[in-house]
Amino acid sequence: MESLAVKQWMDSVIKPEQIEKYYNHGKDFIDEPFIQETLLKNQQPDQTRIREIIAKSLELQRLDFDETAALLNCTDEDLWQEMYATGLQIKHKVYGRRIVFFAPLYVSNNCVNSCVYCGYRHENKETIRHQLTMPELEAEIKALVAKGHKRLIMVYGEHPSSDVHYIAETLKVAYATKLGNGEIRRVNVNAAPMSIEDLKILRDVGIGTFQVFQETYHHATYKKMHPRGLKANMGWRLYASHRAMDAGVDDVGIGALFGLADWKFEVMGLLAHTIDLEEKFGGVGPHTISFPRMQPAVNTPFAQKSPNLVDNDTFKKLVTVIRLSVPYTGMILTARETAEVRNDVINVGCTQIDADSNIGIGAYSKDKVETNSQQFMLGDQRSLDEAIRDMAKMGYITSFCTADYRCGRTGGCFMGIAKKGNIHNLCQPNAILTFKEYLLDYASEETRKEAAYLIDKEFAALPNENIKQTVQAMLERIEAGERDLFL
Amino acid sequence: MSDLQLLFNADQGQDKADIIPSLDLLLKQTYPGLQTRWSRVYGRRRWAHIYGSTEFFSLNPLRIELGPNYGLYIDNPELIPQHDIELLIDLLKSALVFM
Repeated sequence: MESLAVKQWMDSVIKPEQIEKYYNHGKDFIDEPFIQETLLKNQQPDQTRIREIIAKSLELQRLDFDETAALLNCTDEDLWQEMYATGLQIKHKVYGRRIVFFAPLYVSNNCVNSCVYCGYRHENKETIRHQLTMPELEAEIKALVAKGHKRLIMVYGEHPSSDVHYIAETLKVAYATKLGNGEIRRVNVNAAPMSIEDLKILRDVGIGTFQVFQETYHHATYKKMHPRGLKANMGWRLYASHRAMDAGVDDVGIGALFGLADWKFEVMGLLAHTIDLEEKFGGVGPHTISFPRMQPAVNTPFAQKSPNLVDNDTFKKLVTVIRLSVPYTGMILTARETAEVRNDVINVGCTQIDADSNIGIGAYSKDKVETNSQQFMLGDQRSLDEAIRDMAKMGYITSFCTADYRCGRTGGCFMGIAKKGNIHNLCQPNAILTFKEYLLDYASEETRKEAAYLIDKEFAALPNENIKQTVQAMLERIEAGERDLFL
Repeated sequence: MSDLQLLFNADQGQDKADIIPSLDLLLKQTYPGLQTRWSRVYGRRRWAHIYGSTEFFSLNPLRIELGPNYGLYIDNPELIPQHDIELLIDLLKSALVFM
């Protein structure tokens, strides 16, 4: 039983008027009959139509519902090969050959919710609960900085002990912590939906992206998966990103947990979410889209027996369709997946990955895996250094760039550049600069040997002499000991 | 530059929400062709775009921190005479000091 204080807090969180204000004619943006109908009427698309849709994606235009449904329904494996190749082309066109690396940092696993598939659910007595104190958090940050990380996604359970004021304090600690040449330069937050007022508190302490995954866009499944707690209110979650945008947090991340409902429906849901954001916020959609697959968790049988689990082949397909449908948005492929899956699926257009992830609470500083304080089990246990080396072997340069949100290139400004395919003019140089820092300060000898070629290769590919001269001068300053240089 | 000073003087009491576009307009009237990007600064890091060009980004912009809450990028600062720059920054800071 929850204490009275927890119940009172729960009663104060959801503000119905901050859901209803975003409705379209009294309804949320998930029109299930329309989505089902669209999927049905676009069955068996012919080759010509698929190729026309692929061509539209290549022009960096967002697809509509019919086009996305047609791609989802494609059964021609040759066409899928074309789509995989197009996903990579789009990614290169918009984001270049760089992959942004980040680390997840689980800060608190106290939770009032009862998500059927989640190891952190309130009723799960086998999960060891903990919430980091500020000194513990500092130790975690230092452990991550020591590996070379510059970007974090900090993750919090939904509980009054980890309310917005606690989250704000953790952001301040994260930004203030230094170790040698290193520091965290961008902190993104994955937390429960909040009110506009609370999101302004996070905005004021310099949040990067505010990320809330819908889990499932299917109303009946959502209800079944979230029987109790604040998360039982689907509308409050559906409009979490809208409230963030209204609060001035103009980089938002959305996502669906694949394995809960039909995968085609979820992709359509992600598209509906994107379109609704774009319609309501002047063309600015999500900064990133995530597509985690449900993984086993401690004492959580549902995670392994759901009828909607997605196999590897389908996973690659759904990631490809998301890439083609929203060509200009960042896409996050996490270490839930195995190294083998990630090395394959990254080639259909993903832009961000994590590495050396340890999702136990307080586990980085202890440097051990603690399955009983994890939300789920990880598939990829490679160190950051190994993952960077593997990416280098595939021709990808690792980027720790955080320049955009420190230079005012946020929200509509960032999206405008991305939609025109112009961000790599700035971000590719920044990838080179941050990768140089990594090689100098953190890389193993083996990684230096295998990956250093990328600096020269990417430098040679810079679009003009002016940029080359600027980057060359900055590389020399980094060699001389300066850090955190960016365009 | 004297026009700028006049505007800053006249700005006392103006609706603060309008001040950034007003300042931007005056900057551009004073230095035609100036490319500016205004940001609201949050915390230690976040510069959130609030006004100005989203089309043009130079390699060597002038980054100006206008106190704890606002920041400005000028992508072609060479249009501003060197001796104006310090004064301009002071004027902008004073205009935004209570925001």
